[in-house]
Amino acid sequence: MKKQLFLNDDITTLLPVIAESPVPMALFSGQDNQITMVNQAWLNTWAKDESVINKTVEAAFPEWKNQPIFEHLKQVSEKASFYEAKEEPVLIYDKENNSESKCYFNINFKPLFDKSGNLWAILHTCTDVSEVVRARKRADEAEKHIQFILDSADMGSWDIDISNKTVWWDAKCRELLGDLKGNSGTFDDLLRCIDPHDTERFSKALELISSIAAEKTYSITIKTRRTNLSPTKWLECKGRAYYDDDGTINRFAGILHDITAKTLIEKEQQIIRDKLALSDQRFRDTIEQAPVAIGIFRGNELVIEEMNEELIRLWDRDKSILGKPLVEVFPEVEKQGFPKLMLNVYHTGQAYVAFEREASLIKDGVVRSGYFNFVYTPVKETSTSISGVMLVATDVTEQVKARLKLLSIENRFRDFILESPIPTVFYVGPEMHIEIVNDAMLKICGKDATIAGKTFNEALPELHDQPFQQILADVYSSGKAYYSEQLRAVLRVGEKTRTFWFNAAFKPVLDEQGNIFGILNMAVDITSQVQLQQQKDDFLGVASHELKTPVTSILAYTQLLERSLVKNSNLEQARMVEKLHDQVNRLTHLINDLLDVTRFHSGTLLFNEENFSFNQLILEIGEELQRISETHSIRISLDQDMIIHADRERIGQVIINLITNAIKYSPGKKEILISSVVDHTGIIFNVQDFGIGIPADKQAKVFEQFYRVSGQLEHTFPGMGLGLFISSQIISRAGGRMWVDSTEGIGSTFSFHLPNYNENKN
Amino acid sequence: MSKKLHVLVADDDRAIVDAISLYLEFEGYDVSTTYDGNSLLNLVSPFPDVIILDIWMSGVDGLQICRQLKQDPKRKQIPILIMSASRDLKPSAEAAGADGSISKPFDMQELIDHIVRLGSRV
Repeated sequence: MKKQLFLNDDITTLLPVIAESPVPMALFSGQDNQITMVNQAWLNTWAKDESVINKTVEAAFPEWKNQPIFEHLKQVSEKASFYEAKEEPVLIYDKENNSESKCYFNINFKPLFDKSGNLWAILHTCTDVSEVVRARKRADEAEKHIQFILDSADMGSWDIDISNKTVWWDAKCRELLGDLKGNSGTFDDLLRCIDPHDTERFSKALELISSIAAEKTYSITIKTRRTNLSPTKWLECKGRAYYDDDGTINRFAGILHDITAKTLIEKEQQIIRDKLALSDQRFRDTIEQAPVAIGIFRGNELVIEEMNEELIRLWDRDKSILGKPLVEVFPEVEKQGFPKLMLNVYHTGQAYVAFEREASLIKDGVVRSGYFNFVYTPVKETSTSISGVMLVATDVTEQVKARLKLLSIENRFRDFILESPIPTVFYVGPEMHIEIVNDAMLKICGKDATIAGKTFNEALPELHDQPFQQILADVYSSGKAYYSEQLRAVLRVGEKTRTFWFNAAFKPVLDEQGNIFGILNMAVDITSQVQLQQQKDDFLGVASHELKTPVTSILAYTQLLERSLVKNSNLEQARMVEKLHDQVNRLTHLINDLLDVTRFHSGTLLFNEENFSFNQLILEIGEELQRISETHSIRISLDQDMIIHADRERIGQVIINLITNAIKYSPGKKEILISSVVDHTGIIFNVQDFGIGIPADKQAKVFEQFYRVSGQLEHTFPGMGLGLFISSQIISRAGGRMWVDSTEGIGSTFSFHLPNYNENKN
Repeated sequence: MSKKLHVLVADDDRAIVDAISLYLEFEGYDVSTTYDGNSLLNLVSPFPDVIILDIWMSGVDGLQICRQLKQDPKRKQIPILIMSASRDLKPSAEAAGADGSISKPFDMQELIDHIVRLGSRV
C-alpha cells in the first residue's frame, strides 16, 4: 500500500532538500505542469538551464511532445496517480549538435497532495541509466554473438550456480549430453549423462570447482553415457569461475565442446603411437639383443650413435665411445678402407655387402684381427634424406680360420697327391668328378690335365665296360675300401689300346660327419712285373713242355729196357733200370708241377669235372702209396662215402701230394693217419703225420708258391715248394678250402673241405 | 693173338717214334711210323688198326688232321689216340673226334691199355 506523501504547507521546508539533492529532481505544479522547482542535477540530466523554470513542461520540453514520457506525465497530472518506469527510453535533443540521442531513464512522477487531499504538485525524479542500458545491450549483443559462435562451433554453454548447485545449459548442451530436459537442472541431472567410468571424476571436478580458488579456469574431458539414441561422445568441458566482489565464487560457467571425432582420432593416433613406440622399443631391444653386431653412424663424421652389446663385445670398447667419430676412436680402420666404404654408402644410398673381410683393431697397442661378414646400409630419415650408416656385422673368424686351416690341410693333401710318384686320382661325389689327378696317373691313362673336373665316365669313356665304374660305385655306396692286386685295365695309348695291370686301392674319403664324399684311387702300375711273370710262366710252360718230349722217349726206352732185361732174366740190371724208371717218374712229376703253376697263373688250367666216389679214390691211392712206401703204414679210417663232382685226377693229385708230404716230413715215424668226416655241407679229408711239424707263424705260408718250411734240417728235404700251392689251388678251384693244424715237433694235420655238390646244386 | 694189331705212330720227334715203335714191336704189335702228319690224309687201305697221333708236329696240327680223318667217310672208322705234352688235352681231343688221349710223358703200360681198348673195337 502506497503511502501518500503530504507536503507541509510550508513549501519552503522542501525546497532546500530538492535543491541540494544529488538525485535529479523537479517539481511541476498546476494544471499545465509548470516547472516550479529544479535542482542542478536535474538540469544536467536533461541538458537544460534555469530558463526552463516557470515554463510549462510542454514549453520547456518540446521534444517530449510525441514521446511516451509526456503522456505518462499527463496521466499522472490528470488522474493524480503514481508513475514509475525503469529504463524509459527518451529522445534528448542536443541543441549544440542539433541532433537527437536516445537515452534511458528511471523515471518517477509522484503526485503531491495538500491536507485537503487536492493535488498541488508532481515530484519528478529521474536517473539517467543510459550507460547501464547501453552496456547491457552491448553485453546482450555480445552474448548473442557468443552464442552464435558457440552454435556455429558446435559448442554448448553452461552456467553453474555454485550456491544452489543448479546448472543452466543451452540447447546445444542438451543435445550433446543427450539426457537433459529443459534449460536447467541439478548436478545429478548432469551426472546421469556421464559414462559411469567418468562420473566419479566428474563429480570430483564439480566439487573442485565449487571450492576453486587459485585456478580460475578449469578443463575436463568426459565421456557421455551411451544410450540407445546416442552413442558415446567425448566432450571437452571448459569453465571459468566468477567471483563476487568479496572474492567468493558465485558461478562457474563455460562451454561444452564435442571432441568425439578429435578424441577418436587422437585415440587412434595414440594406439598408433603406442604401437610405434612398442615396435621402436622392440626394434631397439632386437638390436640390443641381436646376436649380430649392430652400430649406427651419423653424418659425414660417422659419429658412433648406437652400438649393441654384440658390437661392444666385438670392439672390446664400452659406451663411452658413443658420440665420437669412428675414425677418432679407431684410427687404424682408415687405412683398411672402411670409412671410405661407409661414406660411399652415406652419399650414394647404396648398401655395401662384404663377405669374410679381414679387419684389424688396435687396443692398447695390441692388434686383433678377425674376419667378418657385414653390411653397410644407409639410415634414412625420410624417403630421400640419409642421416647415417648402419653396420650389421657377424664375426666369422672361427669359421674362416677353420676353413683356412682345412684349406691348408686340403692343399697339403692336394700337393701330396700331385707330387706323389704313385699314380693317384681323387674322385668327389657320386658322379665321380675328378677333383685331383697327378701326372703319374695322367701318364698311365694317356690323358692331360684337362680331365680334371670331368666325371669318370666323361674323362675315361674307354673304361666304361671295364669293372672300374662298378668298383667306384660299390666303394661309394658301401664306404668300404677296395684293394685289388693285378687289376687289369685296357687303356688307350694314343690311337691304340694296351693292357695294363695295377695293384690298386680305392679308399673312401669321409667328411667330418663320417659321410663319404670322395674316393682316393691309387694305382701302382705292375704291368711290367705282370709281363715278367707272364714271360716266366710262358718260359716255364714252353720249357716244361719241351722237357716232356725227351722224357717221354726216355721213359719209353727205360720201360723197353726194363722189359727186355726181365725177359732175358737179367734181373739185377732190370732193378737198376727200374730205379731209373722211378727217377724219370719223379722228373715227370716236377715238370708237371711247373707246368701246373704256369697254368694257374695264366688261368689256362682246365678241369675235367665228373661225378666220382670219394672213398674209392682214397682207397685206390692209399693202396698204391702203401705199395711203394717201405717206411710208413698208411691207416685209413673213412666216414660214409660221398659222390664228389670235380676233376678226379686233380683231386687225386692233391691226395697223393698230402700223403707223400706226410711221409716225407715224418722221417723215422711209422704211421700216417687218413680220415674223412661227412656232413651235409660236404666232406672233410685229413692226413695226419707225426713228423717235424710247422712253426705256428709259418703255417699260413705253406700254401704259398715256392714256399718251403725253413729250419735246421728243412733244407735237407727235397722239392720245389710247389706241391701245396698247386694242391690248395686245385681245392680252391673245386670250391673247397685247405688248411693245416700243426705243432712243431709233434706233427701236422693237413685237411681240405670239398662241398657237397648236390647240396650246392640245390 | 691171331693177328697182329697194326699201330701207326705219327710224331715229329724221332726219338719218341723210335722208342714207342721199339716198345710196341717188343710187345708184338705191327708198327708203322711217320714224322709228317699230313701223310695221314693220304692213307690208303688197308688202314692201321690204331693211329697214335701227336698234336704239335712241326707246323702240322694233329687235332686238325684228326678232325679231317674223322670227317672222311672211308677213314673215320680208324681209332685215333691223341698224344700230347699237355695234361689238359682230353676236351680238345674229344672235340676233334679222337677216340682217346694220353699225356706225355706216359707209362708204356698205359699206352698199351689204350691200344688194346681201341684195337678191340675193330
